[in-house]
Amino acid sequence: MNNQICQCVFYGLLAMLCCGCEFPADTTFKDGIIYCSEGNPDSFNPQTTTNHVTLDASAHQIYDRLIEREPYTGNYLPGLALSWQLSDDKQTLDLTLRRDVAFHTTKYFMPSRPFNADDVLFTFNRWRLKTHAFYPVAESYPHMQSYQLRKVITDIKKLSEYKVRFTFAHSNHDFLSHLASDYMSILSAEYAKALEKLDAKTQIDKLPIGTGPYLLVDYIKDEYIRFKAHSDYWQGSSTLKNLVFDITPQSSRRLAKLVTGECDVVAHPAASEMALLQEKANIALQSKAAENTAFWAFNTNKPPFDQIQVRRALAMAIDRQSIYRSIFYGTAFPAESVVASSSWGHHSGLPKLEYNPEKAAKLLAQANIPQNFSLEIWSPHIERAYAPNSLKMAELIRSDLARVGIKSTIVSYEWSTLRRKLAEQDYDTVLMGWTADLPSPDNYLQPVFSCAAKEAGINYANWCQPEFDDLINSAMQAPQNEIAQGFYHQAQSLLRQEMPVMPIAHSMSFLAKRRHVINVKFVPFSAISFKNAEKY
Amino acid sequence: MYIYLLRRLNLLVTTLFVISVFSFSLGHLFPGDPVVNFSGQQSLTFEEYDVLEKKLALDKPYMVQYFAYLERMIEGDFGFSFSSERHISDEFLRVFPATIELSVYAILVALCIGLPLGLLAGLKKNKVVDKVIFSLSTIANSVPIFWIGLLLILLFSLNLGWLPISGRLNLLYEIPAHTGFVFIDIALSDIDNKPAVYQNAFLHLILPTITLATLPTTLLIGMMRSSVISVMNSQFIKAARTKGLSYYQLIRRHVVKNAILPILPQFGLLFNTLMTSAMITEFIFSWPGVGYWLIEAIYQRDYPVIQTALLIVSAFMVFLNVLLDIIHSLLNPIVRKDIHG
Repeated sequence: MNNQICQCVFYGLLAMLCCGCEFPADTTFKDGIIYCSEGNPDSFNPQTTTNHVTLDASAHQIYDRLIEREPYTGNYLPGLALSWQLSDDKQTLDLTLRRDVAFHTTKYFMPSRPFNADDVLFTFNRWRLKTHAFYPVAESYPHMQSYQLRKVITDIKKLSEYKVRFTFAHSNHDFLSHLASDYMSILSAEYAKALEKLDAKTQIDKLPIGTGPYLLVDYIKDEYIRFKAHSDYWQGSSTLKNLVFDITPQSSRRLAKLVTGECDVVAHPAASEMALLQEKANIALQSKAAENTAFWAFNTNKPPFDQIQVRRALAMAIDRQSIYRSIFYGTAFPAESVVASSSWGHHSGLPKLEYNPEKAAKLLAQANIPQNFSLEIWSPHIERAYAPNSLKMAELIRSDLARVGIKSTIVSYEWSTLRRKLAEQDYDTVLMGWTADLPSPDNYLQPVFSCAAKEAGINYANWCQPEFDDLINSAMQAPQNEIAQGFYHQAQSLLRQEMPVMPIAHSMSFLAKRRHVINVKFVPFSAISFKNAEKY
Repeated sequence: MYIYLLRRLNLLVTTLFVISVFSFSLGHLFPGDPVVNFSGQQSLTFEEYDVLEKKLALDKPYMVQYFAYLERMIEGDFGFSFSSERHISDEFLRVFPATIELSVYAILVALCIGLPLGLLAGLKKNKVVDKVIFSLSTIANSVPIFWIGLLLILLFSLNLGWLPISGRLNLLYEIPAHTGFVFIDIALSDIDNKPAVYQNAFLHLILPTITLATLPTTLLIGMMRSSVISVMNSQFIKAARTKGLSYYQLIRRHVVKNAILPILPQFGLLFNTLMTSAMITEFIFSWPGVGYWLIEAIYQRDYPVIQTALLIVSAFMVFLNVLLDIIHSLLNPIVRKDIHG
């Protein structure tokens, strides 16, 4: 009797294990892609953040922009706007909008009309007008605030159902590049109105409605984000049915999942494991030029980091060579300036940053820094393109600092927590970086070091120097790139002089995927896009 | 019997009191404002803050605050998570079934493997079989569980490619969570191709279950072995033997039951190790349970979640231990006598 039960259980288990081969073909795996992403998005609205995790999860999945930029040529292509006309004095921009573009139909919203001029007005007025009902819903609009776009646009007018006119305060040729950036994703005005009636305005950034190729189904923090293909997408529905972001903060775990096939695409494969990946036949790497800068930012609001001499001495104490060797494994270029060397605004004439611990110790003593002075190094618990291993970088910096008699403590935070804590401005130093999202060189300067950026909370050195702001404003208004270049060079020399941050590296960024996944768009100045992705 | 129950309940209440006081004081000890820490709401206007402070009784003396806190805990109002901004009680109900599910499977595996092996080792005391079983279990017992987990991943997932390493189900399968127990949810869902989904869930279960079951199995083997040895040496076994019972009958009728009874109270110990190992296992295999939730909350400095998770998990452990004690005393009258004694 007992024996029979045992046999039953045994064969039952055996059957469970083995019957895989007899199932009817399961198309679930063919119709969907799992992307192992590196962290939790803080919302699903690119307007409200400069966090690339959020941009990756929203900008090109959920939304579309009025115009799109060709990644390599820099030409503009029609998006939700069919055509655009910049007036001769460059003070007005007329856009003709595309018809019959459907918004997402989801569990939480049923659109009754297609995209039109009202949506454009809502999208821009939401962050532009402080009196707008949805303005206070988000804490800040960092990109727009750091570029002061509110002052650039004086008016947006609806000329007809499908025509919109932007009016600028002064002649502006750079605005198209903003329009094509991830931050200018188009929201639904009808959805906003519905939320206002329900008194649930905050929902607009958490449960998004857009016109993009995928719609949000479900988001569980630390676990996954589930998207479904938008069946009425104006460019034709995706060949995929499902797209899932599997949130996996550890890069070793992401890599393991790629090998076992649990992920089809992974973000930021670790530089140390690149060689291993290249050996695997079924795995391919995609790379993107080094349009980013990793830096060590000093909180210039807090003594003694408000003294230039201290900041320079600390930078002098760090051996950057050992960082390149043990963290980037040859996938990065040393950074002498914060503007990446691939940009035309890069100042190549800056001397190399000096590494000289003895001199650093002397400078610190001159600045009356006591022996056994201690500081905190905050480090994000996430891999970014510019920082494949922030914690290890912090440890190297700590040992370098110990050599000049400075004690340091490393504080590691999860990414969105770190950003929240940084907003409180009570820190010493932080390992940060910037990935460019516009091709213009001022994108390395304006959103990172300007006074406006400090107000928007993305200037992690809390450094504000009117002289610097004047230089980049002059550069942006310069009629020719050659003249602008001069201003950019001066601005970079000023940064070197003042050293609010110590630039560390410009790093290549990578995406690893299984070979049967193709057409994942992974290009500079843009978040990842699965719009045309296919699996075979 | 009633006195015994009363004593156990007394123990329960005292321990819960200490735990709740600790958890309550965490709200004040964590950095930041107590109102924010207790409520979990970070962006408050001044008016909202005042209302909330009154509601949570945080403007009153500590004693009053504590009782207000206790009342909220009993009602299941734990506030909001900092990072997800959802109700902590909802989050907990989402992750808790996953932990229970994994623990139950691990316990079942441990019982199915540990008890028979322990019995065998005890019966064949000091023979080769016993030595092999005993030394294997000692090795397994002394190896850290995270290392076993990683080793299993390396072998079965990365090298052989047989088993997945994370989660409960491939994420492309969209199974709505009704109960939180994967197999029940699959049964309730209206997805096509259910056998494939079941198989996928089963494959996901193998490595975490083995990892989690290792420690309890070795403990069970040890307990069962020594218990069997002591039973085998007792007078009534000798008597039964002289009566002419066959070896097989002897074991079935007398040894198994009498050997299991004395180790029942130690099951509490088993649950304790199980719970701590479950947290580590969940983290290794990204199993979305309480442990994974708590560890992520620590990374994210999500104070309300840390506070609540500690409170609930420890209260749950205390309940379970007391419950096992009571069940044991109902089944085994000798214990009650001892305590009266």
